[in-house]
Amino acid sequence: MNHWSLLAESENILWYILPIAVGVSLVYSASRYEEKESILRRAIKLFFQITIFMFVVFCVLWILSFRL
Amino acid sequence: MSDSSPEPKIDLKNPIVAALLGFLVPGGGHFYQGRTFKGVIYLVCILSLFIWGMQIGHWQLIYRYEPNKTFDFDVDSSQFEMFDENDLRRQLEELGPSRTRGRTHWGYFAQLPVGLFIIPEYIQEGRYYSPDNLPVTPESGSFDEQVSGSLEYVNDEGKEFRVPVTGQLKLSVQEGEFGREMVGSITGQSDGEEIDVRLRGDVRMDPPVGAKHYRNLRVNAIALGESEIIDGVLTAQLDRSVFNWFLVPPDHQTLEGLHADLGKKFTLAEVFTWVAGLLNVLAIWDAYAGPAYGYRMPIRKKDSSEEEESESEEEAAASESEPAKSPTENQPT
Repeated sequence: MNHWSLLAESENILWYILPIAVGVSLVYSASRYEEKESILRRAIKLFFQITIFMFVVFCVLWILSFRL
Repeated sequence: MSDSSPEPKIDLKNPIVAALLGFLVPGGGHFYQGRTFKGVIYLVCILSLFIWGMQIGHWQLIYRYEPNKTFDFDVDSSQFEMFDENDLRRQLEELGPSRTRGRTHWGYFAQLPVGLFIIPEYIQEGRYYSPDNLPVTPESGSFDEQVSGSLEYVNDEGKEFRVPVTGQLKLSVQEGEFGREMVGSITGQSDGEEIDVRLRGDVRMDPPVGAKHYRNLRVNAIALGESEIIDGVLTAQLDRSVFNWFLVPPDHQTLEGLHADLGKKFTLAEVFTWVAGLLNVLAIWDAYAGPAYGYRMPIRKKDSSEEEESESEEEAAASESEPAKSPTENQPT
């Protein structure tokens, strides 16, 4: 079985990271600035930072658990 | 593209009122201050995260105290036939889930900043733990309600039956041979036929207020009509009104059922509500004191050098005269 197919499953709990990351990015950025453009620019940047960080963590854990 | 024009002042109006409104409804303080865009962000993001989590967790995620597993209040042991420990445990379980407060549930404090749910939960918690919220017993008086359930019985010839029953259940308290007991009947339909079941003695029914959508009922049946003697049990689930289950703290059995049904999604649902609650702290503080870093993101050096060439000296002087941070009026001290 392809291990990556686990990630592709729609029921995989990891997908719930995305809406949480969107919410956290928008709310955190909105609490930093007032201007609409600044909020959105920072939120997009933060969203990708969170997502990439979580993906790196996922990869590290996936490698560590390989053939377990 | 950001510009270097003077940063507009933000009118926070009354910051305390704004913070209070932000606690009651995410983004409420910002709508009060006229900061609609941010109000919409807070309202949509925080509320949808919270509601999504609650929906995954069957609306039973908010509780200040972990529910105790069994009854542990001062039980009057004389009311039990205490043959051995197992028998006592069985009789305690028949009393239904415990409604005593256990350990503090720390996740509650992360949900606390969302007043829209926490305030109703606080009211429901008071109703749930109220001494009046008791299972129906001879002490709680008479009972008259439409129910739907099933009747299992053995007739006087030893035949076993199990039939559905829908009808009006009436129970009242009478002095019996061994003290006060509940006596009554259920009159209604069973498989399209009229049925009249006489009930007496052992009655178990969940309290009026509880986290489940229904109350379990179990009562002994002694006769069909006036004459046919039976030995049976009527079991039914009575619907609770929304007011009697919505945001009521779950008992131990309900929580165990949720864990069994949802698995790791139960924790995920809790995390959604915790994240939403903690995010509302940021929203409340923003309503109270304004944005943390300033009106807009700082301009990059490259951008600013380009803009400086096109800006007049007057505009530059105006931008320097305005502070980069604290772009608020009525800022709390």
